[in-house]
This record gives sequence, C-alpha cells and structure tokens, in this order.
Amino acid sequence: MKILGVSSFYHDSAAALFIDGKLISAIEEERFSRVKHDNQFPFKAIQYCLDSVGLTIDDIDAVAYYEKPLRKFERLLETFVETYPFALKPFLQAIPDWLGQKINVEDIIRKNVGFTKRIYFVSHHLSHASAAYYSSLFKTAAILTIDGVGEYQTTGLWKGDGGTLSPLARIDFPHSIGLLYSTFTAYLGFKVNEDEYKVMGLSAYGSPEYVEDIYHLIRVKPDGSFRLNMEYFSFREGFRMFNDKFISLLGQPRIPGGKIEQRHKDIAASIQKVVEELLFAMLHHLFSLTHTTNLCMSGGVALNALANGKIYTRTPFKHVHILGAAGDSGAALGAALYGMRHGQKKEVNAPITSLYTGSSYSNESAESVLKTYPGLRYRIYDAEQDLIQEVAALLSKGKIVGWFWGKTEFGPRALGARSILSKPSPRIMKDNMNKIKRREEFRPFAGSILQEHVHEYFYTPEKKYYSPFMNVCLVVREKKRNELAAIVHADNTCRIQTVNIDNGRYYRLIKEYYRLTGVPCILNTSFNVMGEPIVEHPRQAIEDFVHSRMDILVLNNLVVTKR
Amino acid sequence: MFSSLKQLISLAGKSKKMWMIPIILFIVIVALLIISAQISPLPVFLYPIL
Amino acid sequence: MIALFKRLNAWFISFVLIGVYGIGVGLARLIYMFSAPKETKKDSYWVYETKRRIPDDVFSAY
Repeated sequence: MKILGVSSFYHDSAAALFIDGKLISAIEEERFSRVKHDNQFPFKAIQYCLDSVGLTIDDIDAVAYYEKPLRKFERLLETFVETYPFALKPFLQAIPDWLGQKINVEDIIRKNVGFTKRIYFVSHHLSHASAAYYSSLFKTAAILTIDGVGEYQTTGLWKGDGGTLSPLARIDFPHSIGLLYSTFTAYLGFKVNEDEYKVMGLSAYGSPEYVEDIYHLIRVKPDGSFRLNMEYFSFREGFRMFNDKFISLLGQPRIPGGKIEQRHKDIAASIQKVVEELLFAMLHHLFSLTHTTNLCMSGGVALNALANGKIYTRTPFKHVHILGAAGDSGAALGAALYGMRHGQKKEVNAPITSLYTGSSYSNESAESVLKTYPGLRYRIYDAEQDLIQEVAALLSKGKIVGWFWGKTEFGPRALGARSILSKPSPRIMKDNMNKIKRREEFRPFAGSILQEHVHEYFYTPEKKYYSPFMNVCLVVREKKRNELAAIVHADNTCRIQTVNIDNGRYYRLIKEYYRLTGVPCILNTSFNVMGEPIVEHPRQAIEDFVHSRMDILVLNNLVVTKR
Repeated sequence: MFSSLKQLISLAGKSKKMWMIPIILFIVIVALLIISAQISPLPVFLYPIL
Repeated sequence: MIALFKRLNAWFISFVLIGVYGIGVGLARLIYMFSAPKETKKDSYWVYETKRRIPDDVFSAY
C-alpha cells in the first residue's frame, strides 16, 4: 500500500510517503519554500516524496490528512460565538482565509494535486497518537498527546495495545498547555509557534519565583487535569495572547528584541516549572489508567526536551519514545500510519529509528554549484575514511564545520545530515557558534554522543540509553562538564542525540573524533542561520558558509575552504 | 469557492450544534458574494442598489 | 477601473462580513446561551471517553 500523509495550514506543513509499511520519504515544505515553519499546502514536499521513488500521484493508493478541517472550522466559529462581540477583527481575517483554502482541503488534494482515490481525514490528536505509537517498538504503551489545539482537543490520554489505539480521556480548547506556554512565549517577547524553545533555554538562568502567580492563571486537579483561567488570556478574541489582567499580575511584557532582565528569566523558569509539574501529574494519572511503563508522547509540547529528560525520575515510566518530529510535521506521518492501519485492517508495524528521509544531492550536483563560487576551493575525497579522518582532525583543532551529507532529516532537529559541528569545549566554542548562527547568547547548543558512551557522560535511566532524536535534556555528570563546556547549559543539562551505527557516516565521524581526542561527543547545531529553515540544497549551504565564520564546509565527499 | 459552499453545507448538515445554522447561513451569503465578485462582470457592491 | 471595482468589492464584502458578525454570530450567541452546559466531574477536568474506540469516520472531513 502506498500512502501519502499531509499536514498544512497551521504551521510546519509536510508530506510523508509510506510504501508497504515502510517510511520512504518525508520532508517539510519550508525546506523548499525557504519560509520558516511554512504553513502553505505542501505541493513541493509532496512532489519530492513522489519523485524520490519515481512515482506519480496516480500510483498512490490513499492520502491521509492530519486533521478534520470542518470540525476545526466549527471550533473556530464556536470561539467567535463564545467571545461575541469582542472577536470581530479575528473573524474578519479568518473567514476569507478559511473560505479561500483551509476549508477546501479535499478540493486542493483532488484538483490541484490531481489525486482521485480515497482520502483519510484523521483527527489531529489521533494523528499525533498514531505518529507516536506506531513509530515506536512498543506493543503496549501509554500515549500522551499534548499541543496547542487540534480540532477541539488540546490534550489526550490514550492506550496502545496490540496495534490498537484506544482514547481514554481528553481536554478541549481553550484549556491548553501548548497555548499557555505560547502565551508566555509571546509575553517574553518571542515568536509564538517558533520560539517556545527559547523560553525553555532561558529558564535555566532564572529561579521559579513566579510559580504562585502562574497558578492564578490555571486551576489544576491532582490527576493532572486543568483549566485555564480565561480571565487572563485573550487568544480567543484577539491577536494578542494575554490581556491587561495578565499584565497586572506579572508586569509589563518584554518588547521583542528588548533587553532580557532577570525578571524575564525568572518568569521563564516559573512557567517551565509549572508545565513540568502539570505534565508529571498527567503522566502519573495516565500510568494509573494504563499500568504500563512504556510511554509515547507527541504534539508540540512533547518537544519540551527539558521536561522530557525528567520523565524517568519523576514518573513511573521507564521506557519513553518521542518521535523527533513530534509537532505538526510529524502528524502528517501519523495520519499516514493511521490510514495504513485502517486500509490494511491489520497490525501496522512501522517502527521508525531513522529520520533521514528527505532530499539528498550527489557530489556532482554539489560540485556544479561550487564551481560558480571562485572564492572557494575544494577537494574531492574518494575514500570515506580519508574524508572522516580529515574532518575529525579539523574538529579536534577547533574548526567549525558545516556538514551536509546524505538525506536531510525530518523534524525540527539536525541529526547529523544538515548540521554545523564543532568540538564540545572550551566554552568559547559556544560563543563562536552563536555568532555564526546569529543567535541570542543565552541559547544553549546540543550534543551528539556515541551511544555506547552516553552513560559515562550523562545521568541516564539505563546504560546504553537510546535517544536518537535529540528531544531529551539530561544532566551532565560533574566530572565531565569541563569536557563538554560548550554544550553544558546553565542548569548542567544538555540536549543530546545518541548516535550509533544506524547514523552511518555521522557515527563514523564521531568515532574518529573520539579516537583522536578521547571525547565521544561533539557539538551539533542545525545548518542554518537565524530566521531561515535548515538548508536543503547545496547552494544554501554554500551561501551560509560564504557569509559566516564557518571554517570548513563538507558537502558529501567534498571538503570546501575559503581562499 | 463553489467547493467552499459545498463544505459549508456539509458542515451545517453534520454539526449537531443548533447555533451553527444562523452563522452558516450568513457565511453562505458571503461565499456567494465572493463567488459573484469572481465571476460576474457586475461589481457586487452595486447589488444593494439594484 | 477594474482595480477600483475590485477594491470596492473587497470593501463591500468586508462590510457584509461585519454585518454577518453582528447579526449572524449574534443570533448564534443567543442560541448558544441556551445550550446545555457540559457535564464534568467535580474532582477532575478530564473528559473521559465513554466508548474507548475510535469512531470509524476516517473519510469524513468532519
């Protein structure tokens, strides 16, 4: 069965193609359109998925869409009714937008994409639950889906057993942890649906002194269920997420781009703490309903790596699977997985251990672009071993390497296919890297570590801890903090990716680096500069290389330097 | 836009919420106006005068 | 001329939309106010699924 999963019209539009239960290709539209978090219908991503295996749309058996647009529209109208007469401006903006395209998903798929067979409309949280459960190795698992909002649902408790998903409990809009966190993102002067991880990073520099104030905004029960106190929020009736009452409680919001004060850091720390407490209470309740120590999580809030790293110590769950693309791009994948199960009427066994599913380019195509840059010189390595030895040596000498290899990753994290790499110490490497990426200096960097050594450097729940998607922060062991000085955050945690033989050349690079230096870990950040999506084409990588202080660029087998 | 109309009517039929009906009816009017503006040689703002 | 008509059309449709909001959404609000409130347990805000089965309406956009 060939099934195409699609997400669009909110953020992170994407397409994913499965053939006979195997994930063949998946990519976000932003990589082609170069619009960060592009929410337009993913025509280019769909075309890429088909082209990658030489298919046409007529070869596809089914398309699965990641939500039910009519139900979402109904919720939108219900919100306008509930907030009448205060939501005129959002109404005037939303209605033409919805009538123009968002309500017409079926039409777009049939007429613009040219697909004539069956279309699945999988509800949003079911798409998330499917993405999490069917991509895991678990036969039985508890599943938590948690995001801003789907059609109505913002939070879902599920059980997966023998390939069947069962919904257990839910919380509906407007009561949403995702929207709560986003409100604080906006309040702290950052972009909603883009910069939530900045709040997470900032929290390490503050102390949670506003927790009591935040509990005015939210009522929580011991079982982790909650209600937002809507007297403080205005995301239903306006374009600003918080209102004057919110400001009276917590003070003036930070102006975007303005100075970050200690108060902002403390507020970030406070909301992070509240969300963690809520999450753990929910997970305890989920455990009581399911009695399994296997957990899958999905939805935008599941990208909160800091909270994820504490699940092992703060909840009964011992085995946790969070797909790297836990947000809406991953929901495209989840919709396809659910459609596959429904279409085949049998157990879907589609564990996903690799997210290298996107576009790739040959040495020849990279070289043809390089030739248009006279200011660059390059060398082609025929033997991978020679290339790896050269690059590892450069890394050990403190060089910053743009690494463009193989198929691009699916999801928000760079996992060693489109990465900028450096050694993980000394601390100055962090500052140098932040200058290249044009990021705020409080932002931490993540690390990629050989799986066989992860327990030596981090406090892990088990010896050969497996976390391939860089969505968990763990505490760094005291004796190793100097060795990883550039990636240890202010709270002594680090977001990590465990790397093993499945990571191919990237694994072999780190192995060689380890052989040279005795340190099995490198700094890994995404290959992009501020405001742009991760690079997709060699030309974008070259442009970033040329206009930055990166020392070396590696394009597959080509090592590029500036003259 | 015709497909928008179809979707709106589908929503009105499937939704069990009574309050949807007046909104859908009025939005259908807006949808018809937009369709008309796209295909009619006559500007829609003249309709009330006519 | 066509550009002017298009702009006037857009203004007119916006004006109608305001009217739709005022009257249509207003009427809906009246009906909504008489709808039955959702029942939830006092000790929990979870809405428990009564049928622990996913409805088989996967081909519907609703």
